[in-house]
Amino acid sequence: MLFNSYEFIYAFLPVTALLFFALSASGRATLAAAWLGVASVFFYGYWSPRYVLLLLGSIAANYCLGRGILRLRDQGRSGASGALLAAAVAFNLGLIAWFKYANFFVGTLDALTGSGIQLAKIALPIGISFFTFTQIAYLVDARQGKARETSPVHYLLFVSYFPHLIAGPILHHSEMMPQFADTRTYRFDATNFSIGAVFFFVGLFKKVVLADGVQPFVGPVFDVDPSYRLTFIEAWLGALAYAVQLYFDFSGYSDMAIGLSKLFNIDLPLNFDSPYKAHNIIDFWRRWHMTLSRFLRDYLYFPLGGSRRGRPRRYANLMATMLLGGLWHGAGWNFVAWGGLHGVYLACNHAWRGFRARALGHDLDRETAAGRAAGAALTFLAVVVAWVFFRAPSLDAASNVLQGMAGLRGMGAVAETRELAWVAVLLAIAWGLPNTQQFVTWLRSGIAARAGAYASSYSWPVLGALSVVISLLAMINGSRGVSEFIYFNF
Amino acid sequence: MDPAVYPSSSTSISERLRVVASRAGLFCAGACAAVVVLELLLRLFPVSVGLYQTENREIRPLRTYLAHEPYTYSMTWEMRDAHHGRTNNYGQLAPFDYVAGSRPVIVVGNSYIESQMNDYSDTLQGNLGRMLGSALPVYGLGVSGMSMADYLELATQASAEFAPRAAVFLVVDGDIVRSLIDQPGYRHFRETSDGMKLELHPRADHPWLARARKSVGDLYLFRYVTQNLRFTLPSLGTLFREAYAQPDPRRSAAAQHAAIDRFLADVPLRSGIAARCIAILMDGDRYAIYDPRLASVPADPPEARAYLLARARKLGYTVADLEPVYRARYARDHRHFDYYPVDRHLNGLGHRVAAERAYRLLSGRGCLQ
Repeated sequence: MLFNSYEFIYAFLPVTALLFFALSASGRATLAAAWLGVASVFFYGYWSPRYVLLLLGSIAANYCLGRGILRLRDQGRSGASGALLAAAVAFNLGLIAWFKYANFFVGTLDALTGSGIQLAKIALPIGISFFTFTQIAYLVDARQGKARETSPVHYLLFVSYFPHLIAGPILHHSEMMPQFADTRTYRFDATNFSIGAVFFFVGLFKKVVLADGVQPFVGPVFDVDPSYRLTFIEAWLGALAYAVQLYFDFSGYSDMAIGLSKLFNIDLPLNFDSPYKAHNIIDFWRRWHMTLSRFLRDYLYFPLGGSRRGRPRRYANLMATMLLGGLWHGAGWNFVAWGGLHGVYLACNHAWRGFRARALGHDLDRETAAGRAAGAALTFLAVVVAWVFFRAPSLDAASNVLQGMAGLRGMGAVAETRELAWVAVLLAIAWGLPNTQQFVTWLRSGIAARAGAYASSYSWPVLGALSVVISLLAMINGSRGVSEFIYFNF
Repeated sequence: MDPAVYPSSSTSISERLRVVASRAGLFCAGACAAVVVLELLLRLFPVSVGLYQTENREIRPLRTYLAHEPYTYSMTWEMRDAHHGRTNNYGQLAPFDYVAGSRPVIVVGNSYIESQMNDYSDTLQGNLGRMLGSALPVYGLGVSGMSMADYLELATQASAEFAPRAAVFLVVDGDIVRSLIDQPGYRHFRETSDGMKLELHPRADHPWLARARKSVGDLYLFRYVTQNLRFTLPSLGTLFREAYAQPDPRRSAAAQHAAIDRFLADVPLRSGIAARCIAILMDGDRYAIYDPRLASVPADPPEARAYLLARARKLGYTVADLEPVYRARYARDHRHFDYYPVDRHLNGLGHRVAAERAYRLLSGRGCLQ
């Protein structure tokens, strides 16, 4: 059940919200939370019924393991709690390794050794990367005393909460559990509902109109037979089209998730902050898939030592973090190459900043407009080049696109001005317009300034208008058949 | 605090109802405002509009649409490939009026011949007209949704109106099977003890429904949703038109053969044209030519297609299977004959290939003089 499908918009969401607020209004907060959890599991099961048990098993096992870690910690048995944590993390990584990487590892082993070992194709349970990482973070924090959850209902909801279950944002218990426990969550709030609907609308628009609009120009470039020699213009248009498609697809999904959650008075963390406006690659990773960046930083980069053990070690840590971050996205060498490339970018960025500060004496907090523009252009160029590996089905295909982008196969000509116009408009939106959270803030402050104390009355006409445009967007989406979100594959 | 939004628990029932009504009113006002804004916005874009069906369309398919009315066609949500035009005096999509008794070459078919998605000059009839110069008029008679059974009626009316000298029938997938299906507003072959009988299933429209259809049909938002987005909601859709029946795959081959026999036996009689001057062009699965993985499950069984071609040849018709023609052409220059992948209707190249074949066949038989 996609967020942009009829069954979600017209059946699942209204039924879930109505019952949730009905239970909330009757003072049954725990039951309302449980209902949201059950609805979330149904949402997951609608995708893949056979993996519901996997999801529930993972949640139950991790809840019990978390309780065990907490108990051992409370008893002062640090070694035992550490051992249990190691076992729990191994359990989670084992799960993800089997479902996501077994085919990759066996295939690579076979290619390297010619062993002839074969493994039947293992289907990837949707969302496994997200719900596994969410729980690993919980376990680590339980061991450190930062997390303490006793309510199985809230834990079920924390992991399975449908707005984030399939493709994030990757949640942190510290930002969710207090909201599940807050009585204000279990009260219909028209203002929150309308804010959520605006987020949902903007996300749906990004997905249905922007991302899916440019999507037809991507496949013919990346999925072409590698023997076809892509020209400079073909390759660049394809690469730029993918850069904007991925951004609007994933940020659209994240906006929809944030909006859906806001309908239920629950704030999800932001996941995007105009990443293509970043003026260096460090800045890019503070703006792109922010909850993954946070996870990698807190649970991988810092435990590896971060920047505390000297420059060579910092670069090695960066490289390791980004390589694993690449592999998190998918079991393939192209993702390793993408992660590796970003590791190199980050290392170069840190080295350059160090050089400027130490050798040139620059104040890194004060940059000229020209410097920022040049940095933004270079950053975007580097990101687009890396996206080629991210999208290409093989390293050969990536090489074909990159050779075209380097101008090694001639200039070519623009076959369709429509394609050029789409890419140009989407880039202009990504670079020139405010992002969703800025737009919603502007909208709210505008309404508040005009309506004063009656600002909340605006919620109802806003909801009426949004119900119409969301229906139209759903019909547009329906006219093109199934259109999944790119990050569902990860 | 605004009491309309935060009613207290002590408010009376009437006060609560007032609050609910106020909220509902605000909600509806917002929804209406959005509809108005979308309607005004869409009027700036080439939404598929126009083409109002005549009230007696099913009885007189020759005059399907209101005459001399402008129309716009565009496909998909992006309103791609927009075409603007005006219906002629017969309500057909041609930039000139048809003249009664002018002995034209007629080109008969369904939406493939109606060809809203192409400029007239790019259609089969447009191409054929260009090939013939000013020597002979060529009239396209295409009505969306028709099948082989309806073509017979169209041929009958064309004969009475124009006295055509030659005809081209473009038979596309579904034309055979759908001619056996009883659909409101269309003709079909019904099996009787006396053989195949041609019957019309009239639409049972209430007058208010016809008026509503016309009024709503003027709204760009409605047209955008129903034409560009092809949105149908069975319960809502039937308010505006009766649902189309789906082909019944269990329909026997014998019935299909009988329908084909009836069609081939009747066409010369009804059109007043000798079989040798009637070209039957059989369309093929073009997507399968581009990539065998894209092959579709045909509505018409291949065996029925083969039967139609064989019987037509035997009865002296001028016959061409376009599939091998498309295949050879695609192998040569790898150009699509349709709006792949969004629409299977023929594009300019597809129409030109068909027109070239029709011209060669009919001129070879001395029918274009």
